[in-house]
Amino acid sequence: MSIVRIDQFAPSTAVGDGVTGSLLFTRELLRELGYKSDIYSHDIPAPLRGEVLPLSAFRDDPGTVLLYHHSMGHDHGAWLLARRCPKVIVYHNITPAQFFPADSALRRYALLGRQQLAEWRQAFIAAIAVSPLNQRELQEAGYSDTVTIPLLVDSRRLEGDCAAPHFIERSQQHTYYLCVGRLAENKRQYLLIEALYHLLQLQGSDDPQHPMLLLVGGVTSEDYARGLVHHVEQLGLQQHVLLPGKCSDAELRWLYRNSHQYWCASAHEGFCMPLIEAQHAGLPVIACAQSNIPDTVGEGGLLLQGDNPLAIALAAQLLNESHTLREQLQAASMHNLQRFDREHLKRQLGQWLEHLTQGLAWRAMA
Amino acid sequence: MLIPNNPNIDFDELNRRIESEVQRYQQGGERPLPAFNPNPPLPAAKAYGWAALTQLDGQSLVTAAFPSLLGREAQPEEHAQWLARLNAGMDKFEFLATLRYSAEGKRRGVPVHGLRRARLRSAIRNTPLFGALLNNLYGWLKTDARHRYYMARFDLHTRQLDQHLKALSTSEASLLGILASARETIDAQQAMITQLQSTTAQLQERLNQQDVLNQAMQDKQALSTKVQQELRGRLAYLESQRGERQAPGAIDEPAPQPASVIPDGFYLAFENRFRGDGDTIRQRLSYYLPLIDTVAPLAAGLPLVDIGCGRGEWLGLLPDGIQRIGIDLNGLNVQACHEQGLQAELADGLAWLRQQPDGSLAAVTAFHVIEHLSFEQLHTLLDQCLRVLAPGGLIIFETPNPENLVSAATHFHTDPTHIHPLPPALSEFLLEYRGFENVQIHRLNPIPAQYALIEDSEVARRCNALFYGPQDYAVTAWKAQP
Repeated sequence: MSIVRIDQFAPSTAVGDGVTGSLLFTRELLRELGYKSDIYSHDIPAPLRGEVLPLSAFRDDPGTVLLYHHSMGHDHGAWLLARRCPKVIVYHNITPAQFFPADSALRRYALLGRQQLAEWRQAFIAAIAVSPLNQRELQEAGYSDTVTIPLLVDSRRLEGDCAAPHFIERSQQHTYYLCVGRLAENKRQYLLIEALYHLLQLQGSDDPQHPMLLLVGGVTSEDYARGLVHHVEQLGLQQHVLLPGKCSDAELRWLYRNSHQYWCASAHEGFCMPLIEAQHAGLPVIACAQSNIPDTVGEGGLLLQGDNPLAIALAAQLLNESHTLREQLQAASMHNLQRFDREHLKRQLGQWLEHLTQGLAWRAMA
Repeated sequence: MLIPNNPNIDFDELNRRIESEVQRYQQGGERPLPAFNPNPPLPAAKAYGWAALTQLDGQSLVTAAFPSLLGREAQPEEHAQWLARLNAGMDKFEFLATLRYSAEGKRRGVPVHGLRRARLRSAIRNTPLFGALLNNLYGWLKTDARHRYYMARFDLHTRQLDQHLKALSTSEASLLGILASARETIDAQQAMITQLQSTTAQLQERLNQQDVLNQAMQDKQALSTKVQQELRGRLAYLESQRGERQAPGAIDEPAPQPASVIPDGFYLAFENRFRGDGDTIRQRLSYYLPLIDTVAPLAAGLPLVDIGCGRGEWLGLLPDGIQRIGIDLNGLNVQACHEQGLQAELADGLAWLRQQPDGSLAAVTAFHVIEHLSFEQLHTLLDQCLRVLAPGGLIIFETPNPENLVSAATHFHTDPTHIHPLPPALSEFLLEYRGFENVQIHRLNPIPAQYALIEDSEVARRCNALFYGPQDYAVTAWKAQP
């Protein structure tokens, strides 16, 4: 069988969502490689209509391969499994259920997602993982033909206009320590609040740069977000920590370019795109070495063993004191980004598709 | 502790500093931080202004209404009771009116507005025995008026809908007409586009053919130029051989020109094959132009001499106003320089330098020359340079870089007249030892990045450094000012 079309399916799509970004980026690469390619979903928000097509428009024709993006449990398995065309799973990782509140819908779907990953392995002829951690999880779930291709990062989309967010005080000089990500239990932003507390103790309260920790991201867990505000109040850091909610792409770019350091204490990340965005903007990264974070950071950041906020604060102080270390990290970040270069990813995807075509031909002969 | 993930960073030192800072910090007797509570209690009840209070609902409303209107928090049973009523469908303004106009609320007298009707309903509902009856009676009496009001609204909406439908129908007909006309225009334009595309494709094809022909012509022309040069060289060599055979006794006559044992034609052909075209060489040499701008004796009018000047690429690149002289052992190269209007002499570079007065030159350059010299000759060259350069004068010597193992192992030996590679450290040492100042190494011409390995591991990084690094380097140095 020769492949004519490579379509993609995700149960739901959303503007600014990582998996949706991956769908759009992969479609561009596939079209540039000469394949016809569209995206199908059950849940299409208004701004994505036209970009993403409804399931009723999907044609299960010979010569079509379907890439299915799996990132959470869902109720559209019946539709997916009924497609006759060869299917490939693209695995984006599922946040472990223990990070979600008991009895919540998120916890239920996280558990269901892991169960579906294991139960559906016979339905797919191959599997793409977007990170080495995901590849290991696929192999543990019984998938044999796996490959890691980080189909997430369109290096061209990291460029663009900047806009200072409304919460930035232009009148006063600040040193911004940035963290971008949902306010959810697995992100452990409270460790960063404690790290800032220690940093202020180390530097003295009369620091003219007035350090500020910016925890940018929408709320996934109301209780946890309230806990963060409560923690800030307990430590007396109301003047030093901001939780401004979600920001636009242009505002994020401004924050990446104008912050001093990027901090990440997350306990679980399937990939962690903000680390790449920070590196692209030349922002030195300090992160706890958990799940896939060491692989994403590569040589371009300080990785901490364990989760001691004091160690984060001391690493930040080292970076503040050593211009050379800062420059070394920036150079290493640029080096790390080469792995996610668009042309490199396209070549990787093209080679893997050749391998897939060969596999399909052998299947047809058998 | 930091995990070592970058060979260029000294993590042992960083971890040692962190460790000592941790100890110092902990000796400071910091109080233990309060534990993070991922599920803290709801914020304590507080008084809201009237406008803010009316924005709340449900639990938040009950929690906030008591301190706002009564100046105290709700008792748990009060909270539960009112919340249950609100959840059962009670109007929140009636709840607020009940609190505000209770005896407790009246005593406090918090200013509110818009509660008149809600207060009346609350008063009726709270009338003992007849409250519920009066409430229902009030509702029954209002039924007819409410019915008339809704019928009137219904009629109005029906009429508006009819009007909209008629307008829509007219617009649809008009739009269909416009659409049909637009479709015709599009079809016509589509046909024109198709025709234009076909013509463009034909033209493009012809253009491509023409490009192929042009390229073939240029290739042939370049080849023929090279062959012509080589033949001239060979002819000159043969003529010199014949001359020697015809006049064996001419030993006493002074030698007209110094001559290399290698025929000129050979070296010209060799360079044509291996050294690259003039544009490439000029592009590489342009790296040195900013250095030239800083040489004071040049500005004072003293000349730059290029030993082994080749076809004059470097001399031709120098800015106007700079005195320049080329020296080469190859007569064809010297001739090529003369054809470009450049001053060049057929001579041995070392012998030529020996004849120059002290402090008479501003700069001595030699590109891919020193690897042809024996160690003794290299010493002589440095001695002579130091002597003939004016104070503040510059030397630039470029040579293959043996740090690139491919260059050292293969390309270096492609030229049979190379003697041995000179590692950058040796050149740097020699110049410093001879008394030159500000000795610098410039690593140049790395293998293009697209041929290198993707640096996703330490092995790839090291392989790139050893096999794909700079292929040449230059050593530059200055003669000290007095």
